[in-house]
Amino acid sequence: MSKVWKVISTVAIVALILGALCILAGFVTGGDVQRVKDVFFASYDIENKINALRSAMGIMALN
Amino acid sequence: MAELSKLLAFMFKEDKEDILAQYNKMLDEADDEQALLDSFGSPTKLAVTISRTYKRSERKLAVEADSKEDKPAEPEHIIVTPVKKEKPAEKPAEVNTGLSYADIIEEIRREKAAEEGVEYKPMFFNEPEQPAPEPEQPETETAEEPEQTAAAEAPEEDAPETAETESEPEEAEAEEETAGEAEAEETPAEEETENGEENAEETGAEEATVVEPAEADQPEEETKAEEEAAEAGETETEPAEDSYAPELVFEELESIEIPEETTRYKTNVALLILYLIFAIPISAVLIVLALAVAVVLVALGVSLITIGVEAIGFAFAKLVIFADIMLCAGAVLIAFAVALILLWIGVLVLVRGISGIVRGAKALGRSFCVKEVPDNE
Repeated sequence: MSKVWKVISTVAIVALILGALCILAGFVTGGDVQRVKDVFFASYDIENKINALRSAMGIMALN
Repeated sequence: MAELSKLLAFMFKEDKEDILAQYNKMLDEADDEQALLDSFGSPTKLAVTISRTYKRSERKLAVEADSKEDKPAEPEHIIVTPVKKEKPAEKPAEVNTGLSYADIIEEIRREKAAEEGVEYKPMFFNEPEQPAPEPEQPETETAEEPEQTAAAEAPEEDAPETAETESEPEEAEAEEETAGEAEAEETPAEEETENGEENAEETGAEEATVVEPAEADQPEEETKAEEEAAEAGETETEPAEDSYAPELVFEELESIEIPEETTRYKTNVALLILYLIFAIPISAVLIVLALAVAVVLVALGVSLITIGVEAIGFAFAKLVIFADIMLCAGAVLIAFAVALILLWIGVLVLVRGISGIVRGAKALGRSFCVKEVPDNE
């Protein structure tokens, strides 16, 4: 069990380090979180879904 | 005597003391003490002779039987045994020259048994290969041979019946002559015994000097063989005696029983029932909680992995800037790492949490309800 735990912890730490390095590299190379968010919302039409949800919640609140 | 006492360590204490006392008595009563000592030979040889005829196992059985019956100590078993002597031609014509020491002891013991009115039991083996006395030396013949035969045939015969050799020296000579004549006629040993008994009863004497059949009765070859056997017995007896004392010590040590400290568990049933009333619901709740935590953790991990897969697909499909793709990839890797840890923790909670709750409940119940008490209480 401890051996499995060591393997998992090692993989997790390596993944964390690589993720941190990737994020650092993205920021260094001019990445922008707002731009990624705009693309994501535009791609999956998130804004219309949120408005529909809010209107639904308002009707439920009025009833 | 001191050396003989040491050499007779294999015998029971009372037997040994009895024999030593009788030898001392013989020495005190002897006219020529040195000659008697010479006739005894070396203490080792004497001890070998006694050891060859001593029935230690039967004596032990007799002692056990006596102790069970709670009877007073009975006289020891004595069976007449002739002892080898030096060549009679070289020996002085002393009364005790050809004596068998065991015979003398036996006579004294038989006498004592007759006086005390108790049953006489022989102490020594009666060697079966007793040579028939030859008529060449009738003057040394005694009632010894009939006595030996009688002892062999009926070793537990009463002392008055077998006290055929109790006579005055002159009468003993007459007996010897009678026995010698009987042997010269090659009569059976039983007849000789009867003759000896009749003569002894007629005389009614209390004491007699017992003269054993001379060594010349036996062939010289047998004499030499016996001497060699006795000498060999010396070397065999000494280590046996040396090993006897440690053997006794070990027997005593083995007989000591060390009491084992055993414990048993005593359960308080009422407390156990009370504990179960509370423990089962609490344990069930804890198990359900553990299951819920494990399921939540696993669900979070699976969700994170799913989101990460979707995110990495979105990054490579929709994003056109490499820096933005690197940001998404970094976030997905971190999400994977966290998901992996959450999954592992969820599995641990599921496996160890539930089994730990069950074991903990049992241990707690044992500590509350079961007491360890000594077995002898």
